[in-house]
Amino acid sequence: MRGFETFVSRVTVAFGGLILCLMVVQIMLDVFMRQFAGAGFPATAELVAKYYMVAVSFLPIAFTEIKRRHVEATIFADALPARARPVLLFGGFALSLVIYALITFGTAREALRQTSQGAYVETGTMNFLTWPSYWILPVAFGLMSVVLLLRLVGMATGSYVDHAHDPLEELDSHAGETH
Amino acid sequence: ETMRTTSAFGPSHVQATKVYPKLFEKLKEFTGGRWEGVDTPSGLLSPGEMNAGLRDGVSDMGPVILPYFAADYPESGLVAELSVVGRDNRAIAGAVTEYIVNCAECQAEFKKFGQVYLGADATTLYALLSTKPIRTLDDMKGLRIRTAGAVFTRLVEALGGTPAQMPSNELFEGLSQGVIDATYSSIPDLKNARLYDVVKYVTEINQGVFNAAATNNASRMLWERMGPEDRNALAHAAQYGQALGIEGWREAEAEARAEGAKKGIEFITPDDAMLKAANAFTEQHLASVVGTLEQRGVTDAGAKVAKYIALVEKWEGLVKDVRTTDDYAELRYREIWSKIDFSKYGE
Amino acid sequence: MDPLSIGILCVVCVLALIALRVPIAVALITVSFFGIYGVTGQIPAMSMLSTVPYNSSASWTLSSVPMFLLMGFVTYHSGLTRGLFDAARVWWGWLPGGLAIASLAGAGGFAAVTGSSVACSAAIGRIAVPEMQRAGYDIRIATGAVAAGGTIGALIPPSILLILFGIYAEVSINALFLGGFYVGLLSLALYMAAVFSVYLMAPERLPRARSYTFAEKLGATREIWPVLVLVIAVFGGLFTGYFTATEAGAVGAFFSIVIGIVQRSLTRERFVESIVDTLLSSGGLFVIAVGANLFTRLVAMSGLSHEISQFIEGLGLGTTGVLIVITLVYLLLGMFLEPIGAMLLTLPLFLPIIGMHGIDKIWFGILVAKLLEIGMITPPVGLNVFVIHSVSKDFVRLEQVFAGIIPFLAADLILVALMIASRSLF
Ligand code: NA
Ligand code: NA
Repeated sequence: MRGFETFVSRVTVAFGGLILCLMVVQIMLDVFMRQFAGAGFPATAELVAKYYMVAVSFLPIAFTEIKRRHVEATIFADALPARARPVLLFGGFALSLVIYALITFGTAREALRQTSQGAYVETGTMNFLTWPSYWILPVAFGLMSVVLLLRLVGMATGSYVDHAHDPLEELDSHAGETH
Repeated sequence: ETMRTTSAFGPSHVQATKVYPKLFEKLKEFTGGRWEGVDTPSGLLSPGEMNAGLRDGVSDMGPVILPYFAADYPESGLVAELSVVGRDNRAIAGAVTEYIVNCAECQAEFKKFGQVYLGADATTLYALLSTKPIRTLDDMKGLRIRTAGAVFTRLVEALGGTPAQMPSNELFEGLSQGVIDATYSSIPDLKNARLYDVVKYVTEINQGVFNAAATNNASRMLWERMGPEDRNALAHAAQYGQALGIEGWREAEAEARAEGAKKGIEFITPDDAMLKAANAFTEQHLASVVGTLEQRGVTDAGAKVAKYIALVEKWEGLVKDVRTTDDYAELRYREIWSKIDFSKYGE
Repeated sequence: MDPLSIGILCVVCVLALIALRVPIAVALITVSFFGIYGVTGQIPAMSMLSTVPYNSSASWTLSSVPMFLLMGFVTYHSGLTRGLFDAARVWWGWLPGGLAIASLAGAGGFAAVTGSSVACSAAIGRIAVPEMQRAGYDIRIATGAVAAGGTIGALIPPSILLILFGIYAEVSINALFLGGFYVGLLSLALYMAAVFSVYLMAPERLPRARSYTFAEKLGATREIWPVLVLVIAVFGGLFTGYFTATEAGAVGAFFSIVIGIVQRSLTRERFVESIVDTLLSSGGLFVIAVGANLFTRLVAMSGLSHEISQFIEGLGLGTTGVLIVITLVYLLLGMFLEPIGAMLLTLPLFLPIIGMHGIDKIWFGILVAKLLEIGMITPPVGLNVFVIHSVSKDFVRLEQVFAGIIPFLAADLILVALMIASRSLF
C-alpha cells in the first residue's frame, strides 16, 4: 500500500511537473513568437485549455489525498469524542469513493464517446484533436478511487491511522529551530 | 405542458430577447395553449455543452453551434465551409434550413446525438473590426486579426493579415491592450461583445456570415413527449422565432452602426484591390472546398456543394419581396416544413 | 417538491456533510448529483457529473491560476520574497500592521495584472503569509488579509467578472472598469483600516518592528532587485500589449524561475518542492470548483432563482429595499456558488427588476461584482480562503482563515452599505 502511494506520488510529481513546465514554456514561446515572428505558437490556447489545464486540475487529486490535503472542515468533528472520529473518517472515505467511482464511470463513458467520434476543434486552418484529452479524467478520478479504496481497506485492517494534524503544534515544535 | 429551453448566450442576446420568446408565443397559439415554454438564458448549459446537454435531456431545446462539435457534424457542418456564399441572411438561413432538413446524412447526425433539427438563423455580414484603419491590402500587412473558423482564417491570410485565435471573452482585453489589432466578426458584435470602446474602424469587405447554428434543436426526449400535431406546431413556431432572430441581427447591425458612428467609429469601404482580393479568395475557396469536405468524410461533396449554392440562389429570389418577419416565417414553413411528415421526422 | 424546499434541503445537506468532515468538494458534488437526480432524473444527473469536470477546467482563461500558484511557490522557495518583505519590514514595520498593509498593497498590485481573484490570491498568498507569520503576526489576521486582498483581483481591471457583466447587461466595459477601479481602491483602503482597527483592539496580534536607520533602509532596498525585475517584466509586458492578463501568469512563473536560476537560489530540490506545492494546491482547488459549478447547475435546474426573483417582485419594495434584498440574496448564494456561475444564473432575473426601478446598470454591475467577491471569502465555500489555506497549510487551519476574515468582511459590509446609501449620487 505504501509502495503504491509512493508510486502514485512520484508519477504525479514527475508528470505534473513536466506539464507545468510545458505550460510555462509554451505560453512564453507563444508570446515571443507572436511578437518577433508574426504568428504565435500554433494551437497554444487549445493545448493549454484542453490538455494542460485538465491534467493540472485533476491528475493531482489522488496525490492530494495521499498527502491528506483535500479541504475539509475539522472544527466540528474535533469536538466529538475520540472514538467517533474514525467512524466519521471512514464514512467520509466511503462517500468519497462512491462519488469518485461514479465520476470515473461517467467520464470514461464520455471519453469513449468522444473517441468514437474522433472529437476535434478547429483552430485557425487546422484541426486540433481533443478526444485524447477526455481520457485524462477517468485516469485521474480512477486513481483517486483506488487510493480511497486502499484507505478504506487500511482503516478496516487497522493499518491506516489518521494523524490528528495540528499545524500550530507542529509549528511550536519547530519554533526552536527557526529562531 | 412546459418545455424548458436554454438559449445559452445570456439575457441580452437575440436568442433570449427575440428567438425563444417568439417561439413560445407561437407554440402556445398553434397548440391552443397545450404547450408553453420557459427559458434559462445562462447558467445552466454553456453553448459548448449544448450537444451533450440536449442528448441527455438536461434541457428540452437549445442552439447547437455546429463548429463547436465539428467531429460530430461533418455533413451538417458543410454549410459552415460555404458561409461565404450569399449576402442576405434571410436567404442564407432559408437555404441552410432547407438543405439540412432534406439531407439524410445530416438528419442521421442529429439523430445520433438525440436531437431534432428545427431550422437555422444566420448573422449579418462579417467585417474587420479594428483599432487601426484598414483601407488597402498594404494596411492589412502585419496586423494580427482574430478569426473564428477555418474559412475566415484563410480569408485573412489571403488578404495579407496574420490570423490569431482568442476566446471571445478575451476579445475586449486583447483589442484594448493591442495583443490583437482586429477581429473578423459580424458588425453586431460591436454591441454583443461590447467592443464600442475599443474598436475604432470597421472595414466592410462583404464576405461571409455565421450560418452554422442549429438555432432551436429539440431534445429527443421532448420530441417523444409530442404527437405529430404538436411537433408540427413546434417546427412552425420555431420558424417564427428564427425569423425574428434574423431580423434581430439586422436591427442589431443598424443599432451598432448608429451607436458606433456616435462613438466616432469610422465605417470604411476598402479600395477596389482589396475587394477584388476578397472576391478572388471566395472563388478560389469554392474551387477547393470539395476536396476539403471529402477529406472530412463527406461523400459526393461536389453535388452537395452545388445543391447548397443553388438553394441560396433560390432563396435570394424567394425573399426578395418578403416584407414582414411573419411573412418570412410563413414562407419558410410553406417551402420547407409543410412538406414534412411529422410522424416520421426526427424518428 | 417545490424549488424552495429543494434549495433549502440541499443547502442543509451540504452544511451537514461539511460538518461531518466530508471533504468540501465531495459534499458539493454529492448533493448536486442527488439534487439534479431528484429534480430531473438519472440521465441528466449522470450527464452533468460526466461533462462538468472537463468543461469547467478546460479553460484557457483559468490557466493563469496554476501559473500564478507556481510563481508564488517558486519565489517563496527560492527566497526571492524574503528580500521584498525585509524591505517592507524595514520601511513599514514601524506602522501598526505594516506587513499586512504591505500585503494588501501587493494584492492591489497583482489585481492590476490578473483578471480573477483566485489567481490574485494564488500569486500573493505564498509570498506574504509565511513572512507575516515569521514576523509574529496573528496567523488569522495574516491569512485573512491576503484572502480578502485577493478579492480586489476581480474589481481592479482587468476583470473577467466585469467583462462578462458588460456583455450580458450591454453596458460599456470601460465604464465598468473605471467603477471597479474606484471600488477596488476603496476596498483596499477599508481593508487597511480593518487591519488598523485590529491593532487598536489587540496590539499584540500585529507586533511592530523597531525603527531602522536610513542606511539600513537603503541596504534592505538593494536586496529587492530580483522582485523588481519580476514586477517590471510582468507589468511592462502587460501594459505594452506584449501579452494578455491570462498569459501574465506564465510570464510571471517563467521570470521567477529564470531569476531564481540566475541568483543560484532556486536549487533542484527547491524547484521540485515548488512543483509539489503547486500540484497539491491545484489538486485540492479545481475539484472544489467543479463542486461549486455543479451546485450552480442544481440551483438553475431547481428553478430556485426564478422563485427568488418572483419573491422579490412580490414584496413590492422601494428601490433601496429591493437593493438590500438583492444584496442578501447574493451574500447567500455567494456562500455556496462560484462567482461567474452565480452571475450567469442571476442576471437574467435581476436585470429586469433593476431596469424597473431605474437603477443604473453600471453601478449595479460593480455592486454585483463586489458582492460576488465577498462570496469568495465567506464560509462554507470560499475559494479565496481555500487558496490561502492551501498555500499555507503547513501552519494554519481552515477555520482560522475563516476567523481571520471577520474584520475584512465587516469592512466589505460597510462598503456595500455605503454604496447603496450613496447610490443617488451616481
Ligand atoms: Na484585476
Ligand atoms: Na462563499
